[in-house]
Amino acid sequence: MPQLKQSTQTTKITLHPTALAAHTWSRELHRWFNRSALPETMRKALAQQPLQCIATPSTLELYAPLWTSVLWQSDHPPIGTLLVCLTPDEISEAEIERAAWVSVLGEVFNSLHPHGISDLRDTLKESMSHGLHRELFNAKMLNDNLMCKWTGISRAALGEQRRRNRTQASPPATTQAIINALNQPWGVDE
Amino acid sequence: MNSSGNQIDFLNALFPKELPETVRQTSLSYLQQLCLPLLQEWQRAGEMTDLPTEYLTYPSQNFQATTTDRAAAYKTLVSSKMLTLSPFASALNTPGASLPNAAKYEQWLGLVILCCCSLHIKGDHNSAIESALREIRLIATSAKHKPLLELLPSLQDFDYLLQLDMHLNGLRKSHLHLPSVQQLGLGYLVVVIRSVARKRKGVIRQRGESSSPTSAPRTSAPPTPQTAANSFVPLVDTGVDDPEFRIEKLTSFSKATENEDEPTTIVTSVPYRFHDRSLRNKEIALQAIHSIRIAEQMRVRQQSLPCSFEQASEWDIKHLLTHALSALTRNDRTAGWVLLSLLSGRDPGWHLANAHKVQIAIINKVPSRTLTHQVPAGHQPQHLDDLLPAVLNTLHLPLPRQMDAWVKSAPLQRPLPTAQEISAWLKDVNQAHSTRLTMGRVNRYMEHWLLNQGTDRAVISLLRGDTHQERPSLSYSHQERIDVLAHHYRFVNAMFNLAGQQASLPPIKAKSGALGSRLHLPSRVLHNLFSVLAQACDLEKDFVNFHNQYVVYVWALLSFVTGHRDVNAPMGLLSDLNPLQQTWWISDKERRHGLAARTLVVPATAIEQVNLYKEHLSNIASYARLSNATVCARCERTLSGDENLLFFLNENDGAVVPVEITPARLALILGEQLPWARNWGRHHMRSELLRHQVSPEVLDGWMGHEELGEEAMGPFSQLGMSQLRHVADVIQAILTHHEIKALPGWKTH
Repeated sequence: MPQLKQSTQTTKITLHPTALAAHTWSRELHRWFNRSALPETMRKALAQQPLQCIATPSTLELYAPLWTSVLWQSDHPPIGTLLVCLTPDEISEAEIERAAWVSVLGEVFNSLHPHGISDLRDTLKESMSHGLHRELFNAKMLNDNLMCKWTGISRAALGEQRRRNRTQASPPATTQAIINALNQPWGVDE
Repeated sequence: MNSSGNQIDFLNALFPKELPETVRQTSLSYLQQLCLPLLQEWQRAGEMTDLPTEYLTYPSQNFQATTTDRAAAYKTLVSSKMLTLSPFASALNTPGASLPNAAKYEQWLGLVILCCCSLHIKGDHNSAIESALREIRLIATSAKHKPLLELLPSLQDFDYLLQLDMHLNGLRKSHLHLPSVQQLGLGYLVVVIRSVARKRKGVIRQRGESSSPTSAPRTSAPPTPQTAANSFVPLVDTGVDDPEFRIEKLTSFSKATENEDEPTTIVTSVPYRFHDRSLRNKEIALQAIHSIRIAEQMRVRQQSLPCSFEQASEWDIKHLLTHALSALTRNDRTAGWVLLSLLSGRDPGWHLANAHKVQIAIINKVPSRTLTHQVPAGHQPQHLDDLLPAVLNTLHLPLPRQMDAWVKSAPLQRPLPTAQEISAWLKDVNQAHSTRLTMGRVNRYMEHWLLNQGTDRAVISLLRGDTHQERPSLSYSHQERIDVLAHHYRFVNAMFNLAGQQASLPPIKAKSGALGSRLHLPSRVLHNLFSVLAQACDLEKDFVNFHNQYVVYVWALLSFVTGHRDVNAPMGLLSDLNPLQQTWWISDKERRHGLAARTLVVPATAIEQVNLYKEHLSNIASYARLSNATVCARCERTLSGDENLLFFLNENDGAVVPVEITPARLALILGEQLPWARNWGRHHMRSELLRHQVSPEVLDGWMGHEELGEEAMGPFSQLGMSQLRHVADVIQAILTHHEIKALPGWKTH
């Protein structure tokens, strides 16, 4: 049976190793909202969602939901946050991984910036296992058809997003490029 | 514990069990082989009797001396990064056989090891032991330390350690010219030998209240109850055997005062108490030093003293000129030299000694004094010619028409007038006109006059032909030739006006050209530079690269507005900034509390940038919270002011770790983005602030010139916050004009 706890000032929470891929993937995507700009009270309220963890002798290993950690003001969730603690015997690694991915996908689907849809599709196939793809999306791999169906945008729009990403300006790298950049006319220069 | 147990403990302390077994065995074996005969010899002379000889032999049941390959052992220590784990093992295994006088080195190695063993038994000499053992190791391995071995005497010449100590003391005093590395090294060796020879007690070091009695070394004095009387402990070994003088460090405070209005706990400062009973006698000496200091300051300024004290008066100069000009018409060579000394601020001897960079000749039909002026930043790669202004290497300073004939006579190619001749010449003037002329007063008059006119010292130095080593601000100055000439013309004309004469200098041609440093960026380049740096941040999506580029931008902006030098850990700690006063304590030289340290008022954009940077660190900490605890902790320590404000993130084998900023790392991250020296901000800002009419003396203080700036920030300075605020306002105006803005950092989208 899961054990329920409330977080305190001394609660030590780390990331469950199996949830690392999901966490890394989700934090790289561009969201619609700048979460660090939200008011303090809002951040705190959002961060108080119950967390699912694996209890180990020294720490609690978080695996879902992962996105609230960016809202914490210190290295632990707000005091009083409900913690649902399982032991390693009660849940398998595969289930933890699945729960982690489900939690980040849910959050990403709700908040992704519309310009990041091609990113989502392209990066997810590198981060999430084939098994989970099949299980969650009922497809061998998340593809453009599915993305278009779910979001209502056209394939051409996805293609355009990719083209923009590819042609993004890069900083001047050579000495001559820097000199040219520094030598650009500006204002009322001599 | 029995004797054997003590012996094992002793050897275990010298060679901890964490060392690889082969290294331990080699070290033990060589300790016995090298040091035992030496110890027996010294003990026959009555030295080191507290070190039992059996301590240097290892009981065979505990250790097996099978290997003696010291080179291999040393290599193991180096490769496993254990050189500092056991200073004894590191020193013993140092390969000294390749040294030209290996036998002498072995003797010294043995003696230092023995002294350190003896001190180890005595206790509380850990620092001295580590330093001496490190030094003896470096003598064999480092080229910088190697010459010290030549300097050390042969040990066979000494029967007693006291003799040796006295000799080494004399050696230290007579070799003050040695590089500091060797001086320090010699000092380390002397300390252990002296401590053994004079049976000195060790020094107990404690750090505040946090050090627990249990963690104290076994040889420390037992903890005593805290009272007002014992809250100071001896800290510094003063090096003198004077019981009347000692220095103590405050370590604890009375708990009874905790509830008072102002807590007594001092967090950041380290209070010391000096006990010196002879202070009463020294007070007079101290007062004398203080008086000398004031006199020096007044002399340097040359403004606060009456002219009659040290400078020539207008009366003197007027008659000097009249006399010299009339003598020149009679082809009096000495008169020409005296006049040149007055107009150049340099005596004839200086002109002869600096003939390679000064020329006295007719140029374009005008008698001129031509100076060569070059500073390091005046030389830049050719590909920067489009970006940086060009500078001239020579400065022609026209001389009055009246000196035409004298200049044509090529005075530098002919014998110079002697000091006696010049004195005799001036004596005539003094007698005829009741003046007080001396050659020194004539030479100094130009600097005195121009300083009183508020002229920048860098310009005066340039006119006098100083080098940038003599006047640091010269290195940073980008001076328009016309401006420098204007000061020269003003001075020459003023002098001739005094004498009712016309200097007839040629009109200044409005020809562009500058002198000194080339690092004065044109407006477009300055604007574009910050745009390029900001753009580099915008393009980064990866948080590590973004952070590094963002730190580069923050560094560029903050070091630009504070004139920060290119040093390790630039901008110091966040706690160096006072956000309420908008002041920043800048210390950008090796000595953190040296004269170059200064407090500056920073412009509003810099404060805004710091606030945005703090926000950035909070966001980075949130971002890395679950995946990278090291980065998260570092951000929090930076925000609390415990670690340096600026740091880079470095990816090492997939792990992201924070690293301090060094010039080399900065160069790596900057790459091609900054194609000139990283202290360009100091160069640009000095010239720019001068153009905005900032007082040169305030400017020297602002830049923290070690010798010059001390007047601005010194205890006798009347510099006010308002002047520093004015500088900050000017800098803010420069930032606004060039559209240089504070840049927001990482956002958790």
